Amino acid sequence: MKSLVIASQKGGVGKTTLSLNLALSFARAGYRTALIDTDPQGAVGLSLSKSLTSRVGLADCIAGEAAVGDVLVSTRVEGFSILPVGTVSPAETQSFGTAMADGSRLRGVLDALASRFDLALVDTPCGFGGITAGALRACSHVVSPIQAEPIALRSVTQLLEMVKALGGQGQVAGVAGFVLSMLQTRDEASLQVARDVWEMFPRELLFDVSIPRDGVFLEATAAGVPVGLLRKPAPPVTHVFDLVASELARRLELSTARTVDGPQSLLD
Amino acid sequence: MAHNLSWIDPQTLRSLVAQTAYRRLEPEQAAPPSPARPVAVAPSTSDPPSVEPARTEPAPMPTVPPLRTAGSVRRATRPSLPDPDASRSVPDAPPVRASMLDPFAVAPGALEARLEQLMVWACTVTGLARVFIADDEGLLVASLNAGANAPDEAASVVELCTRGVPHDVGGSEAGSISMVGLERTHVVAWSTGSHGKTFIALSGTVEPSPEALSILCRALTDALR
Repeated sequence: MKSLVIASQKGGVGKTTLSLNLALSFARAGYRTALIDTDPQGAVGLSLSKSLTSRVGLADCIAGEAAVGDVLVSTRVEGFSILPVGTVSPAETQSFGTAMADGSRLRGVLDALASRFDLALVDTPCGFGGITAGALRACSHVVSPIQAEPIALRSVTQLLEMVKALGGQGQVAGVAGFVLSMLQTRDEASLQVARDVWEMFPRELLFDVSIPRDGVFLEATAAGVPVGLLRKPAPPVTHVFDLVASELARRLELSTARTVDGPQSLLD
Repeated sequence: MAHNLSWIDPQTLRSLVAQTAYRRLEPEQAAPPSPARPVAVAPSTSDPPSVEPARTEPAPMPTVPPLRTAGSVRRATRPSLPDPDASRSVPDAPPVRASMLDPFAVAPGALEARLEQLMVWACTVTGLARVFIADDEGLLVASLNAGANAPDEAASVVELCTRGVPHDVGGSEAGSISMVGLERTHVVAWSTGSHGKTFIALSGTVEPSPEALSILCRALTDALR
């Protein structure tokens, strides 16, 4: 099983949106996918269902008070499960971060999922505290959204510095790429950021598609669903996540998609 | 470059990237089966896994059949379903970013040579591996990595562009359309010159930039002069 952290030093850049919709794209592509929420605020749960935020979850597994199999939530999408963070009170946030920091407990959770999933996506809170550090230590790859706004670019080198520093201390996730997010194609400043990023970043680390700023994300959050499940047919932006997932599958060398590549008989 | 990245030292960034980027196994190092192209995103299914094996056959050389003469005009037969393997024999390359696009510099020479040059250039700029050129009758003029179904596809593409899209697009002297599915991208550009309306069609698994489509149309015009 490959494990992918979605991380960024800056908040509000679209980490949870990317995590949730990527997970759906991977699952629909035939990869058995687990989405793990490590944000004490329960960002994934808040995006989907209030009931997820009050469940027993990852925090209980990290504390040794629950088994992973007992807290995993299956979804209506085949092969797609969610491990909510559980209830982490503000007073417990620091101890949760400390418990996560060395990555060993999260690695134990990932090991418990390994036989059931092809991929684990780990959504993280903003910043590079113990939670994100632990996720970077425990997982095999990391992807970071870059908000297409000038100030957000500063977080890029900070992430790379963080990965480099953790790498000096032992195992760490390899940077699988950056995704431009919240791109406003009618805003010159936003476009300039995109041009600069395209110019400066190595092609192999920047995805060819960008996530636009689109009101459909708010609509999906209000409805408590990923955008791909908002309506039929799915909003066009869903295709962006499918493309990112497709490229990530190549970069992560995921080769176990349960898809049929070839003719499928229509009738028995 | 604007001020956005002026505070980032490119050398430092390159160094950090080199130290932190994931390591991709080379094809000969990767444990089989390893996909030769990005694993396509497809609807979920409960059937067992199947991954297309890597294909290592060398790309065929460009083939340019003789341009039609007045006596050779015929309409191609109605297209049949494309051969799935025909579109997968040559892997796509990543599309060139808009900021790195090299304009098509047409070399002096015969029309056949210019069209060959155009096809190679178009594949590089768009990242799409299959390409063919057709005239306004839907007859195949030249192809590169296009497979055995290229004649049928040429007829299909020309029919689509002349009859299947609104007249203010399809009827224009020059233009382009792009069709994207979950797995494939098809791009068609056309231009009208002394040889009549000529179409260049490319397909593959990557999505070229709008800028690439724009200069593709101009490049076709230049190649036909």
